[in-house]
Amino acid sequence: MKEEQVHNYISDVLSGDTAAFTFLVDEYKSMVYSICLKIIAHEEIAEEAAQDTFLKAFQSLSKFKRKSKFSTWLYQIAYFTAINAIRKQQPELSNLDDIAYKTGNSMSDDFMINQERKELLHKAILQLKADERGIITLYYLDELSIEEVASITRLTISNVKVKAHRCRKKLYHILEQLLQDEFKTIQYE
Amino acid sequence: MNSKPYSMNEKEKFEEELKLHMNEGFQKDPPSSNFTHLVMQKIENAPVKPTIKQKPLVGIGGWLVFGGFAVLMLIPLLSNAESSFHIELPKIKFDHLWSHYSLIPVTFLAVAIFIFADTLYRKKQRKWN
Repeated sequence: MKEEQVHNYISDVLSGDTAAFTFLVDEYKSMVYSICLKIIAHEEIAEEAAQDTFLKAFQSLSKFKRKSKFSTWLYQIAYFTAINAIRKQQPELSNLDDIAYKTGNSMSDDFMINQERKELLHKAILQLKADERGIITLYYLDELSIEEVASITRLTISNVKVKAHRCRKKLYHILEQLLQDEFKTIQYE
Repeated sequence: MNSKPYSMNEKEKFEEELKLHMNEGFQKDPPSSNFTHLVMQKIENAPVKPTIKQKPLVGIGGWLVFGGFAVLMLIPLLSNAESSFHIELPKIKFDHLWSHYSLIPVTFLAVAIFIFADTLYRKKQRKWN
């Protein structure tokens, strides 16, 4: 959808045509939900956060200045809603047993090694703080440029890079720790 | 556990793996099929509806400029200074008008009308919102 078309729908909503917002929800729901899911890593909570994102966007639509892209503005709401959702649900989300990391059906050795690494990485990401998880998620997404990540997180580009570097370092140490723990468990067994 | 631990020289590989992990399955899992319906339902029940914010006819800046002009007009009148600037009035006899209605009350009246109109407009705006 072109930005001009998006602006037309926004004008319609602001004029009282609430139904016009449906087009905007349909257009961006996939991206918003995916961002929430990547940050929260819990399907139900991510869906709830994605719905809240659209509700918040609707309620503050008159504040959208049209200087930036609507998508960037919307993803900014999604980012902060997702981070707040993690903070609210921290005890629930920190229970790693509840979070199922999706695996395929193939059971080859290579697949298992790969899968174990992925699961370990997933566990390590979940141990990061809410805002750290948010930064590292957006930073590595192919869909978003560094400028967009900076706008979404309300940080400068250099700040985003510094924070992403710190998160990566922290993640690296968590991962090393997790691998050591796993190794100890196997030795003990 | 068959996974190889990450060594320091594997940082690049780690970053690549991280990138793959973040992008894996991105936008492939859609939200529930009734997502849009649920959002619209929440919106319908929401207490706050968005509206276009109408700006008042005269903003704060406008009032400051207007007030500044009013003060500038008052200074020479109050200081009794003689102005070297004389205006040739047209034949509709403004001088006759000024003799009946002096400049100061007329200025104040005009300012008062503006303030009154602006206050009314702002009040109506608040009611509409």
